[in-house]
Amino acid sequence: MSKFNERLFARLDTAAERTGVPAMACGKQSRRRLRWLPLVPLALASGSLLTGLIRADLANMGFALITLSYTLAVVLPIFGPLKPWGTPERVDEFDRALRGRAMLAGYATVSVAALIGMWLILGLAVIGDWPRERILWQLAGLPFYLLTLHLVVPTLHASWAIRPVEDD
Amino acid sequence: MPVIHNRIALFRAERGMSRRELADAVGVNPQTIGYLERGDYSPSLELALKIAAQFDVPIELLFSFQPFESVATALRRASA
Repeated sequence: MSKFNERLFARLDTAAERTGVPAMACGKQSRRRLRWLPLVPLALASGSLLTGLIRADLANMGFALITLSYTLAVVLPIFGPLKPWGTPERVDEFDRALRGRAMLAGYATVSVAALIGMWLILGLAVIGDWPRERILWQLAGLPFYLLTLHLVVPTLHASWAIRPVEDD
Repeated sequence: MPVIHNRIALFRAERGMSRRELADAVGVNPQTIGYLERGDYSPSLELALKIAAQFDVPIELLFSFQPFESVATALRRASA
């Protein structure tokens, strides 16, 4: 192999490792507490949902921002402290307990938000005599909001539940 | 839930074991040993028994509902 090819392949390897994907495949990815980052998609999604409920002319934009929040939230569990089911990483009893508590908090939040969201949309639609299209946009945005909560809340809960342990 | 006190750090220091070595021996992550030592997490009976077996001591020497006396106090009491 020529020197040029060796250097090229070495650089490609380095670039691939920088993405973190090879480490993930080996179960050696670095996980960190995400105490503040999950608040960004959470605030964005909540704000967008409320904006859509208050302003009829911004309902479409609200929906678009909720889907954007969902897209941001999808990335969080990859780097967050919770180890998912089926990961090649070592998942011990502490990880399972942490994941159990965090998922429980997530499901509780999603359940409450679903109830409040459905009744709020229904109530406001009846009171404000909303057109059919606006109701549909709101109902389309709510599942994405709930999915965002489902991704963000467990990561947020787990990130605040643990303190880092220094190496000995 | 009652707090379970432990002397894992003391036994580990006495045996000259790192967290990683103990963690590998009992099949957990090194951070979990750190959380146990700090009292942030109470182990399952299985893990507690594995750690006690690793140090070759009865489980009540490692874990207790009552706080353990410090090494200095124990030494003072022994020398008195």
